[in-house]
Amino acid sequence: MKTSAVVFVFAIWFVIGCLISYYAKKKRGKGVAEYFIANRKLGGFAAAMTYSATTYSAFMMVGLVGMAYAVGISAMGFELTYLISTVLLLTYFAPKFWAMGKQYNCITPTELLSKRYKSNLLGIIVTVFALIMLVPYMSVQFTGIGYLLQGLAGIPYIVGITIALIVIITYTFWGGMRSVAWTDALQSVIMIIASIVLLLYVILSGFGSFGNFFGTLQNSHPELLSAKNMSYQKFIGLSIPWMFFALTNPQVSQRMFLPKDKKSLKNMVIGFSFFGLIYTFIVVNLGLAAKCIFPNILKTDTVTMEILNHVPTALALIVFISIVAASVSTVDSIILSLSSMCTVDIFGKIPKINKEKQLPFGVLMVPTIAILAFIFALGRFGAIVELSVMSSAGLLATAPAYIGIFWKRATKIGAITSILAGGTTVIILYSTKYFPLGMWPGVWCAIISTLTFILVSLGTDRSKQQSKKEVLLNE
Amino acid sequence: MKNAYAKEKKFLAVYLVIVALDFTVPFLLPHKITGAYLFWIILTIITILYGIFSIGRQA
Repeated sequence: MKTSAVVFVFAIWFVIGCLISYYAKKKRGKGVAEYFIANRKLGGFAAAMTYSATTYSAFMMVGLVGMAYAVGISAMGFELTYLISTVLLLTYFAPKFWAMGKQYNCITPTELLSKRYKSNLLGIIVTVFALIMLVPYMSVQFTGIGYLLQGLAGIPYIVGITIALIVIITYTFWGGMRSVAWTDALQSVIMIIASIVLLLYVILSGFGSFGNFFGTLQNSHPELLSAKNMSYQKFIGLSIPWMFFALTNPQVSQRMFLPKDKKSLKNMVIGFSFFGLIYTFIVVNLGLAAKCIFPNILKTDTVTMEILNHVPTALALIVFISIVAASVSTVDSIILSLSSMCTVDIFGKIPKINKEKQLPFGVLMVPTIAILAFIFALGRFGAIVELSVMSSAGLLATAPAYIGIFWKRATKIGAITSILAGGTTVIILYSTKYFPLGMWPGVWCAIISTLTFILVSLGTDRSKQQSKKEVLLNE
Repeated sequence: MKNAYAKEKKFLAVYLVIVALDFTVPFLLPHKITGAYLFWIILTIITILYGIFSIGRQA
């Protein structure tokens, strides 16, 4: 692909994004709640699109296409298991989180935890934990953009990631959540349209029709249609951490606070559900089609690039922009969420801090966290990939505390110990690469943090003893 | 209070049944388009329809 063509399309996309972001800035009101959660006034469409764009990163068009190429529909099973669980969790938890966020004036999901468990320490621990897990994950997105620009247009890696940094800071810094949500809506529309056109082109030019594609798949590569292509332990190990993503990852759980009313919340869940199903279907079928057309690709991460080398340049450019858009929309949401958590759950809890200082601090945190992820990407540390893989499993340690919000006997000590126990388990198992009984760290994290949460909560629950005391005193 | 408890029990039951189906049935189906491929898509659509119905009532 010509460098000038890539730069031209990239520039058009960036300028459109900047215009949207500038308009969002002009519409922006005052205060921390306005900057970080758009004052809970997002419509259903914008909320659904920002939820989708935040959830689905470049992993879909690069990682999942390659995964489907390698292991067939097991990849679809893993991704749809995530979607099924997320739809169910949102159905149950989103209305409750939305109402509680409004009632207790919560800006971050960690603030909800702090208020429920009456513990500022819990909010600080979860914020630090999220920073440790999500900064490396963000740097992988930077790395992805850097390699993509280098591979497709010959733009040096360092220039590529610097461009990514500028785009991300521009979209986030100016207008806060309103800007992120509106630019995310643009990104998600690009993502879905580009992927639909690409799939149609690949199927129609490669097989003539979907019927022929399914026929070829079933006759020539029946092994790809087996759910057993991936080991069952790996399937469980990959699926379980993602099943609770909607609750454990602050960049998505914070989005439950955004809709302006219950109808918008409902539309957010419905919109995201269909986006997820369609996008997953497209991405997996691209991988399966690639296996039928180019059966000998050795590096699965290069499958998408191989497809793009065989489609018209204009289509390849749009898909390239859609992959960059997926990365940018994920990173800017994470940056904004982490900034809000640092502001509300750490800075805001320092005694004698003037509330008016919170917003400038939060705005300053945006470039700070972005530059931190950039530095990680710049160093290309070998451990980054492992840390980012660890992030979904590590954040799973917070799931019992979030679910336990609605359990009467849950205690702050139970919540804190479960997060520390689950997090430590994941770090130890990933660093030693020891998987007891062949089960992945995410599974062990889920078991240990849940058991710790229940047992410690029951052990430290004073409500029953207090009520007995009250009865005795009354007598 | 009783109503909330019943809702929680119902959610947990639905969640466990769907996840149990998701983790077992596809691994028993033949290597065909009408096997695990179609099953996972249909299960997702059923879940989404359940979600729309359920959240619609709450909203």
